[in-house]
Amino acid sequence: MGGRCETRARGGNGSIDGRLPEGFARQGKVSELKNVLVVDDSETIRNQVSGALGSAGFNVIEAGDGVEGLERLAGSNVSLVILDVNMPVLNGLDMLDRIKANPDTARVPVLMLTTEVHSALIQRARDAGASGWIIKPVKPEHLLSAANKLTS
Amino acid sequence: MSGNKSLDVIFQAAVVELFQCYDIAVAPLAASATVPASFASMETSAITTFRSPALTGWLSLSVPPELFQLLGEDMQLSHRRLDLVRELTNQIMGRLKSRMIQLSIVLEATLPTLIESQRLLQRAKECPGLRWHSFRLLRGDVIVSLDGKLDSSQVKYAGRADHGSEGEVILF
Repeated sequence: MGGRCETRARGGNGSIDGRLPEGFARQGKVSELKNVLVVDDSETIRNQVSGALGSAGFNVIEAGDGVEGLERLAGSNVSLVILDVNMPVLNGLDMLDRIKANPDTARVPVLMLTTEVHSALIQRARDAGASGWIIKPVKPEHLLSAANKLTS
Repeated sequence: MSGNKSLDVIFQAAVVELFQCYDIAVAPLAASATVPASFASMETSAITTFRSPALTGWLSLSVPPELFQLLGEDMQLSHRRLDLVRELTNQIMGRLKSRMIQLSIVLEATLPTLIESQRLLQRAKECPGLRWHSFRLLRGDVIVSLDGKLDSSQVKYAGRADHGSEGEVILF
């Protein structure tokens, strides 16, 4: 399925497998291989993100919770972290704090990907050093556009 | 319109919009206090609970095998089906939260978990205010249950204000 959704002017949608419109991946392909760490307890979401970014030439590393995410981040040359908020073991906002508190990872941009819309949470992430906030479900092209901006 | 009738309408709209985002048209049927007959054909269910001073309760999502057929061939693996039902439940909860924020109600929710049909029915029996919402697919129904009594005295319309909305990308 392709995944279209006209919600509102700023709105978006998700596709279940993250496939992109024909030709889109070629247009958006990154010139050098960049690692993106996707941390989400949902395999469905990890597959969506991997599909969208992998088609465009990113190398996607996956983790199912915050602790696993920190393990994957350590020692990897990661250009961007895409991070869920509500996860077991270690939630996304706490993982964000740890990423930003570590001098080795503090400069890596972090994009939150969540169903949460509350402005207080968005502000909390911004104050902690996140680079952006995406509210699920997201269109693959919007996700790719954000990833390109944050890794360029 | 009473608080819970309003909740029915808000909830149904949220579910319809979510499935639209996956290119799946669903038609809401009238909400009911009794278990829909089509519940017997559900394959998988997931549940999440929520709380706030104005509204505390739980919601569940039950889906038939036909839904996975609509979602495509890569949905054949059972662990992916289970994960998808959990994630859809999470996203329904997200939409409920989003709409409640517009009424100045901030819900805290648990992570969705899978639940067996019999356990779900047992839990439903213990909640007399539970509402069953059926949504007709091209083939089969999706069933969402919602338990919770809205305290209308705490509802204050706040609009979208500066909160986000589904699909939005905010770069700081």
